[in-house]
Amino acid sequence: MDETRQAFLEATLPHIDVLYRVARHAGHDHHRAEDFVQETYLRAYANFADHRGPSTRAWLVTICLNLVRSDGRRRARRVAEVPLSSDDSYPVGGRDVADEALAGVDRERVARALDRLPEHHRLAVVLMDLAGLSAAEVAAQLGRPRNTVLSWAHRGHRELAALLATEDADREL
Amino acid sequence: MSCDEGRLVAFLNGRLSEEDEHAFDEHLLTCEACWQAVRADREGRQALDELRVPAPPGLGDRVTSSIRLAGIPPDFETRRAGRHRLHRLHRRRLRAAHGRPRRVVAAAMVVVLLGGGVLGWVLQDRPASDPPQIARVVAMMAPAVADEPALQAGERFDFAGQAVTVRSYRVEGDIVLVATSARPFPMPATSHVLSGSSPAAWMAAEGRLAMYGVNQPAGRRGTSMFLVAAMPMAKLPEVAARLHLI
Ligand SMILES: [Zn+2]
Repeated sequence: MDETRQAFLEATLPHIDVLYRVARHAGHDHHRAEDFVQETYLRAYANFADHRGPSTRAWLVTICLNLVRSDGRRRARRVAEVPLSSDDSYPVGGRDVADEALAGVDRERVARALDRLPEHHRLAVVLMDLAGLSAAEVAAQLGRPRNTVLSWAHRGHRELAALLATEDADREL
Repeated sequence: MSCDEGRLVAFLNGRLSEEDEHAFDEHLLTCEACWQAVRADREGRQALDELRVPAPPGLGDRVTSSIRLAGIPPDFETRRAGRHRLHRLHRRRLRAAHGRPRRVVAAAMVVVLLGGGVLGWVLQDRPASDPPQIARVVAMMAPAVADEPALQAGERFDFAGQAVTVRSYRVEGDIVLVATSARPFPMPATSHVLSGSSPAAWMAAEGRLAMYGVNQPAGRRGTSMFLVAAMPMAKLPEVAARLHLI
């Protein structure tokens, strides 16, 4: 592989996990997360020469988020909501199968709850907690003041806790 | 102290002065609402740990393959080599000499079947006003040996100023050649443009060979692609999808 591709992949592949989480949770179309990630890389590659600035991760996340959100807007005109389907399981790692199955159930619950948060709160949570961007980076990304973003994330955390607690209560009934 | 979400959020993010933090600690001892808010925030954050999972195995390979298939972005090549200005100057000179440079350097790619069923590339110079004329055989590809999605090393060559990379795949027994370039491929005269597609996709057939192209609009950055295989034309888009090209 030639130098340009090598340099690009070395700079960007370490961020693939973060991009996958953004692709999966920033929008509602979980099935297409892998496609969004691939498309993010292709677009980033085409614009690699323009990439300046300190954070490659923030740059990649911007591209990914734009893809997910513009796709979401297109879809919103056709379907009201895309439910999380039951076969939408997370990839399994090396853990014990039973453990992994239980962990998968928990992940699904959290993913479903996250999906129900108001858009801004969900985005702040995804970008800060799942993508690890700083509040300043998220503020730049969403075009809102830093404090607003921090307060969205806070509300997101509380709503998430409340949704999960409600679900727990329902299950115990 | 009264309850204030701004202060609470600053506290949670460690952004209060030492003095204010002490004051808020005191407040938390007596204020049930703020105490619950702090607890719920922590619970929500902890729940999110569940979602900090790695990308699925294989996604990295898929990304790497698609980047290998992508042409070098034109800007990157020229800038990296520090030839940006030179390149523009060259284009301007071309324009001055020929009026419409894109048409003058336009070239059609055709593919021929050589002995033993091996696909070979014949690149055909096609000045806008002249009838097609085969100019030279630029490369002959050996049949792919590995099964899809394993990649063959790409052959890269320059054609009429256009850098083209060609790779071969075997998809369920069929050999498929894929050419990629940062510039659009000229369409064969017989091609059908697929309506409503963006970027523009087209298909064509020449004898037993089917061709399928996806061209990025001129002036837009991105990778244009050209597939060819000895199979019915209608099968090619499916093959392109299997190779994650579309
Ligand atoms: Zn209070």
